[in-house]
Amino acid sequence: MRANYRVEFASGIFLMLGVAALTWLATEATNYGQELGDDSYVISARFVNVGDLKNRAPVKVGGVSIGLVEDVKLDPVTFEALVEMRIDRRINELPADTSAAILTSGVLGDRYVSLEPGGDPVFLEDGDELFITQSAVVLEQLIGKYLLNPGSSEEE
Amino acid sequence: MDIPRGQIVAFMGPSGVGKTTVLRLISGQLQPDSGTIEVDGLLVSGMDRRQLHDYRRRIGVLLQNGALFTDLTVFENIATPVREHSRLPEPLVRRLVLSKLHSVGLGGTEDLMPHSLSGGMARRVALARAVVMDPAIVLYDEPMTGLDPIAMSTVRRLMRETNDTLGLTSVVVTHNVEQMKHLVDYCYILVEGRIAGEGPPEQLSASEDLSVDQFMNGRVEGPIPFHYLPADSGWSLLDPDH
Amino acid sequence: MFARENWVRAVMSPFVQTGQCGLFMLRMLAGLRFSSEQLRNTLQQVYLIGARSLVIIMICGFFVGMVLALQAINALEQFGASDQVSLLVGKSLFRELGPVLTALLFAGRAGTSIAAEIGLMKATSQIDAMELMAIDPVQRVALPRFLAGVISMPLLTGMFNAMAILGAVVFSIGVMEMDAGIFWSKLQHGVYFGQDYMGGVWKSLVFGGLVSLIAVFFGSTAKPTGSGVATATTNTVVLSSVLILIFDFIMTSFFT
Repeated sequence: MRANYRVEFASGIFLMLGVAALTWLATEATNYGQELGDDSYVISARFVNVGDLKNRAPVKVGGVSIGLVEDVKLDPVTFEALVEMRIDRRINELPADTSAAILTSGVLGDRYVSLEPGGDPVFLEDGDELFITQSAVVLEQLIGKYLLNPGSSEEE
Repeated sequence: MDIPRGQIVAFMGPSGVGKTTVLRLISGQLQPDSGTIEVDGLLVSGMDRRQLHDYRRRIGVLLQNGALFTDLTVFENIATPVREHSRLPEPLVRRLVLSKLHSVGLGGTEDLMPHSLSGGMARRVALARAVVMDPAIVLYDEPMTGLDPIAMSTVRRLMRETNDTLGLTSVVVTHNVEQMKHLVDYCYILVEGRIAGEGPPEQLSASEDLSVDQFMNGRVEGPIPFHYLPADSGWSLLDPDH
Repeated sequence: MFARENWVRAVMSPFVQTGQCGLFMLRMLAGLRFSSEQLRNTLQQVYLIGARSLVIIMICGFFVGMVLALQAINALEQFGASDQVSLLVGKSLFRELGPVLTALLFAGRAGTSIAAEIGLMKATSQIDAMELMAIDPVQRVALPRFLAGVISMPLLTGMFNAMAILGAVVFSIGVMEMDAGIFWSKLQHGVYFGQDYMGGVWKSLVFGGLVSLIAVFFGSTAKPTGSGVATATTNTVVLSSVLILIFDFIMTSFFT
C-alpha cells in the first residue's frame, strides 16, 4: 500500500503541474480576459473605405483600448462599409458627436478604429451610430495621387 | 466422462490431444460442437456471457506457469478474487488472504512482487489465489511444469490437502505420470480424440490397451506414431519432393 | 497466393478492424463506474502514462520553442518585422505544433508502452486468468489506461507549450536581446483564447483519445507471442502517427 501512496502523490503532482501550465498559458500567453461579454454595448459607424480593418481590431480613445470591432459589413444600397464596435460598458459617457477614424498602428502595423470625443452633452447608447467618420488612408491611393500631381503643391 | 465430487481426477495424454480443451470446456471458454457439460447440476455448455460470469465465481483456476498479475503484490494477487466477488471489509479480506498464504507455506511474502518469487513459490501463490474463495471445483492446467522435484512434491501435497480440507473437486491436466500416480483418485487417458483408458492409477498401470501402456511407460514404439507423416504417404529420402 | 479470398479479406480488413475498435471503445465506456477502485487504477495509470512522459515532453518542448524562435526571427528580420516573433511562435505552437508534436511523442513513448504491457499480459495468460476469475479484462486493464491517456494528453500539451514559450523567451529575449515588453504584449494581444488556445486543447483531447484507443486495442488483440507483441507495438506507433496527422488536417479545416 505504501507504493500506492507514492504513485498517487506523483500523479497528483503531475495533474497539478499540467493544469498550472495550461492556466499560465491561458492567462499570460493569450488574449484571455480581453474579450468583452455582457457588460458591453454596440455602436456603429459608416466609412467609405475601411482599408484592411479586421474583426477584433481594437477600438481606442486617446490610444487606450476600450473595445473591439465586432463586425464589418457592406451596405448594399449606399456601398458604404458599416463597422459595428463593441464597447466596454464602463466607458459609457462618449458624447453623441464623437468621430471615428481608421488609423494604422505604427508604420507597418494593423488597422484600428480611433474615436475622438466631441462635446455633446448627450451620450452614445447601445445601437447608436456615429455620424462623423474619416476613412482609412490607403497607401496605393496616396501614391497614385502624387503620381498624377507630381509638382503641384496645392491639394484639393 | 464423470467427475465425482470430492475427488481429484486427471486428464492425461500425448501433447496436442486436447487436454487443455477439456478444461476450457468446463470453464466455459469453449462451446462443444456436440454433447453437454454439467457442473454441480448447472448446464455450462449453453451459457451466455452473464451466466458464465456468475458461474465462474464458483470455480478456481490454476493456469500454466501460474499467471500471476505481474503489476500486483502477492497479497494483491490473492486478494483480487476476494475483492471482486465479495463485499468483505478490508480487515477480513486481509485475514482471509494471509491465512490462505500461510496454508501454502508462504506466510510473510505478502508484499513481494511476482518477479522476485521462485517458480515453486509463484505456483503456490497461484494455488492460494485459485482456492481463496472456497470454490466448488478447481481446474489445474499442468500445475507441475517447470518445477524442481521438491517444489513438485510440495505443490502435489498442497493440491491433495486443499482438496480434502475444503471438500473441493479437482480436475488436473498433466503430463507427469509419476506425480499423477501419487496424487489422483481417477484418471482418463486421452489418445487421438478418444478415451483410451480410465480408472484409478494402479489399474491403468496394468492396462492391456497398447496406447495406454505406451503412454504410461513412456515408450517410443507403439500405436502412437513417431513419424509426422503416415508410413505409406510415399515420402522417401531419395525424392523428398515427391 | 493471389487468390480472390485474400484480396477480399485484405480490402475488408481495415473496415473490420475499425468496427472492432469502435465496439471495443463502447465496451470500455460501458464499464465506467466511478468506483474508488477504478479511480485508483486510473490514477496509477495517469502516473505511469502521463507523469513518466513529462521529462521527454518538456525537453522537446523547450528545444522546439527555441528553434521556432530562431527560424521566426530569421524570416521576419527580412521584413523588419522581428517584433512579431512571439505572435508567430505563439500561434503556430498553440494551433498546430503543440498538440501534434506532443501527440506524436506521446504515441511513441506511452502508446507503445501501453500496447506492449497489455500484449505481454495476454502472452503470459494473465488476461485469461482474469476472464476465468470473472473479471472483465477490458474494464480492469484497458479502460484505466484509455482514460489516463485522454486525461494526460491536454496536460502534456500544456506543458509542451509552456516549455516552448520558455524556449522562445530564452532565445529571443536572452540571446537576441529582444524587448521583453514587446514580446509579451504582442503575444497576449495576438493569440486568441477561443480560436488558438481552445482549438489546441480540443485537438489534444482528440489525439489523446485516438492514441490511447489504438494502443489498448492493438495490445488487447495482439497474438500472445513475442513477435505478436512487437507487431502490436509497431502498429500502434505507425497507425497513431498517421491518424494524428489526418485528424489534425480535418480539425484544422473545420475550425478555420
